[in-house]
Amino acid sequence: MRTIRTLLPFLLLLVVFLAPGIAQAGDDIQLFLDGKKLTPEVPPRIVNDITMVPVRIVAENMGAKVGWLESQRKVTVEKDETKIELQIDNPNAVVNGIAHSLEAAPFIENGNTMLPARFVAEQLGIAVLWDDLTRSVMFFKPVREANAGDTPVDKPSSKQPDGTGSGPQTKPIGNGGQTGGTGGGSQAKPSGTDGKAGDGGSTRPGSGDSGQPGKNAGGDNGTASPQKPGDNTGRTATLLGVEIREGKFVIQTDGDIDPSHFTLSNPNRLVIDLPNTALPKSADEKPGVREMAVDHPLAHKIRYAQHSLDPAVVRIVIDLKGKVGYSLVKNAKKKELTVTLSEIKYKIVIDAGHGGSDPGASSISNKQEKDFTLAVANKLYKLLQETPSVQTIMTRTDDSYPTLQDRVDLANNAKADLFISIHGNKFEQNPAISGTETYYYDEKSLEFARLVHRYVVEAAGLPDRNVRQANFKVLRDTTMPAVLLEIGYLSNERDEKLMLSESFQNKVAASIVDAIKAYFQIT
Amino acid sequence: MSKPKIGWIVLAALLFAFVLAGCGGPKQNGAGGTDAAKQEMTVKAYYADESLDKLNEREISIRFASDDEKYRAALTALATAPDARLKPLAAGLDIRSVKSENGNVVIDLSVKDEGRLGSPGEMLLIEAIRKTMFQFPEVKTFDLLVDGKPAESLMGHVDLQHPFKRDS
Repeated sequence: MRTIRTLLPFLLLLVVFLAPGIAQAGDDIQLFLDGKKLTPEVPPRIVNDITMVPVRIVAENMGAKVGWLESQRKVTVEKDETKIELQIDNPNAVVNGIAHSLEAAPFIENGNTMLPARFVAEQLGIAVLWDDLTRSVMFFKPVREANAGDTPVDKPSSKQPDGTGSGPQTKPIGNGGQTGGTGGGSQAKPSGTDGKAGDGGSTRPGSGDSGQPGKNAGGDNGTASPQKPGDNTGRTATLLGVEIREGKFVIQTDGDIDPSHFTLSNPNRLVIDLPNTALPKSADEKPGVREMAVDHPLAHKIRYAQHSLDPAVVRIVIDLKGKVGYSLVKNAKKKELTVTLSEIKYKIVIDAGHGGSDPGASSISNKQEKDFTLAVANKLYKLLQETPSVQTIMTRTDDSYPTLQDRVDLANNAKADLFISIHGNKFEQNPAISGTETYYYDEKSLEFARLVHRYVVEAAGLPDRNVRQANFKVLRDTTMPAVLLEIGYLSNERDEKLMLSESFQNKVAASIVDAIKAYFQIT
Repeated sequence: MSKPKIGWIVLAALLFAFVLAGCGGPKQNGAGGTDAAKQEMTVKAYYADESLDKLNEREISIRFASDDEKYRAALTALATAPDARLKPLAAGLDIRSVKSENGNVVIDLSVKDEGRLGSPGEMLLIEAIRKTMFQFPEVKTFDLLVDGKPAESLMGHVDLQHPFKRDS
């Protein structure tokens, strides 16, 4: 057992902006202002470990007035009471008449004046953080200027597709597979604070490098406001420590934290953001990344940093040895979060049929099939989170329409082990037809088709309309065992009533999970 | 020089026979055609059985004045079953247009939201359209468009081939 709890104050500091010693040409540095990505016309450059940004960033994004005196090759940056004078190739600057030495002198590149980002920003009262994970410079405007309302949330966020709300004291708050990410560039914003499901955010499959839209989906656009009514009255909790207990990572705080979490690839890492949380005072003076090697079969090291100041978010990163599954359990009483890592053995694609522009069948009482399929798929997703050896990949987690080809590509590119498409049936020309059908296309899918059909028929309690062969695209073009479940008939009165009920959906979702476990012999 | 002369006579005879048979007579085309100009024909149409397990074939009579009208009439027949034990599959489709050229037929459809079928229904519907179209020996291919566009699928289960070909 290895404890990091006591190491907090003196953990090796990777102070902001020192890390870029490794920066190579073409190694893009990203800029963010209050979580919003900036796109300078020339990329930032690293000189002597100092990030240089084009002057336009300073003028347009930091709201300063910039002047240029050609004869002296002098740049002036003015904002409020502050006046900064810099000179091209001169490693000295003057701020309000007082000389400061710079670690890197301004220079001109392709007609753009490049200024030392941290120096200028801090003189203007803008906080600066270097995020080594994503190789990003994060600027944060002073509180009174920050406009929390419009901080757009860049993906990814790890909201569950199906909200947990406030639940029992110890509740699974999620698990992930891995790597939904966009490689290097994902910049996660602290997400909402109440643990409720976010929605919105499009979930086109294939957008991630290894396709895990479900994990990144449900972005919490619009829920970025740090403090919601009735939310802990905005108290900021403190991260007390992180320790490894019986192979699990235990995060100790002094508050009730609903973290957001997600994984990124290249390199593989698990990111846990603690909203409304700060590092202890003693460690707070120099924002930076603290890190520590760990002795764990699936992880190299753990790092954390004050990821943002307003709202206060601590980011914990576990550097992984490969793609792993994880689950995150909160114990509100103990104020602990426990992260369990486990090897991923199976990847399963859950496909909620239809969606978005394709409503699917309409039911007797005029409900849409696409909502039924999503409800069942999300329940299935949630249940599968309790099986960390299974990575669940969702074709959609909201009301969007991935094409059939998108769904196929997602599964094939992820090299999934199983594909399960959820549907609701309809044939209003004969409303008496009722029951469950399971479709497969070829031999490799037949075994699972029979198995899952048996489980679902039993759980649904509807007439058994058999396992059937069909040339449906998602079955024919997927390379792994694939089934399409027609749970029941939305055109039948009894079926419909059941299908629209939560308890029926839960039962059916649980039976599919049981079938998956039986198929892979997961105990 | 009798050879070419014989050739001309044969050609003229063929043309005459063609006109008599009324095949594809352009004058009969279009909405202006009267009932008298229409011909009647028995074609096969396909419907689901009561339990939505398989297609049933029935012969029905259609009236049309052109090939395009013939295809449209045959497809339209799929929306109404001739007897109560058969269930129509195409009731959820509107046929916007049918146009053919050299045996390649383009059928533009729209799908009524309330007419969307589950996967077995869509599978049988596509098969019904296929069999209906390819019963006409002159049809080489047909293409199903949705609202004028080559959609991936009619109802989200079966992918459409653009165009459908015989034996494919």
